[in-house]
Amino acid sequence: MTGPVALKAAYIVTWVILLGYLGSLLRRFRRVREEMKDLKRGGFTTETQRHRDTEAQRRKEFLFYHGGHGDHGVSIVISSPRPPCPLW
Amino acid sequence: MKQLFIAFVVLTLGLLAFSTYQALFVAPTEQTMGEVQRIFYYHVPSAWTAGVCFFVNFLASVVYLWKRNLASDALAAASAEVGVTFCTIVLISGPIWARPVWGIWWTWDARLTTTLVLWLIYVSYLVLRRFSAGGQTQVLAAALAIFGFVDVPIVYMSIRWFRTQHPSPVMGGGENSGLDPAMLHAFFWNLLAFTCVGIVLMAVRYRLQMLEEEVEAAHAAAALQGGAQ
Repeated sequence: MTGPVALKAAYIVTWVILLGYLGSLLRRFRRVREEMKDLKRGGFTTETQRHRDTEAQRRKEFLFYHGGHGDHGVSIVISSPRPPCPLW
Repeated sequence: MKQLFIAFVVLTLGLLAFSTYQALFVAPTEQTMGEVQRIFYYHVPSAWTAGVCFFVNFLASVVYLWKRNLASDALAAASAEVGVTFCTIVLISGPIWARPVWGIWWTWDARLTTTLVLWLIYVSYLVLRRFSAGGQTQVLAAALAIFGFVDVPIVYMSIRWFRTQHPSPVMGGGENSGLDPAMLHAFFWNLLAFTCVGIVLMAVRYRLQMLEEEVEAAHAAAALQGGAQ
């Protein structure tokens, strides 16, 4: 790799990383704003629904392995109070 | 506030354009290395900005452990992510410079290795924040950030403490160190521009984090309403 080629490569890589990161932030912004709009309308987005299903699955597994009575020295900690859990 | 931020973004873009022009066209070509030395004008400011971000992360983590407020946790998350981005640039642009100058992409010397360790520490911090479940995630992340920050001064001092293949300090490195004034001029413009880019990215990421927290709170409220029915 010659000097000028390395220089160009480094500059391109720098800007690809910075612009890529900025792009990912803007995508996440759009997603969060859409989710907020959905919440204001009173519905859940597909992503939220997926999250709710995952949380429910985790809780089921936890209760299956630990009995779910809280008498094993393990307390059930709710990771995030986002969606209503179907087991509650 | 929004107008102030937009003005700052415009100023940053102007600074970036000017500093790039300085680095590529105004700064003199280095005698031994030639054109490839100009990577220095992106590589070092990126490392500096990563260091600033990790310092902000450290301060925000201390404040979070002390006060337990949402804003400092959001700032910690934002600064760590931006810091990792700049550290990635350092770890990629460094080997690209090293290949034509040293003849190798990588060597396990103190500066390179401690920088890689730093990157891994903060990537693990982000992974912890992303995938850890439970109410203690923020506390654990803050503790990891405080211990992880120990590596930042080690990275900075590594080229002073150890005899490394990495070039010795350009500034403050003793009698024979220093830059040509024209190079120094370009270097400081780039340092300023990259710091401003880091601040802009941190501000955007901070805002995103706060919005995500708002959405979580709204979900919680919706869940409580659903549970009450």
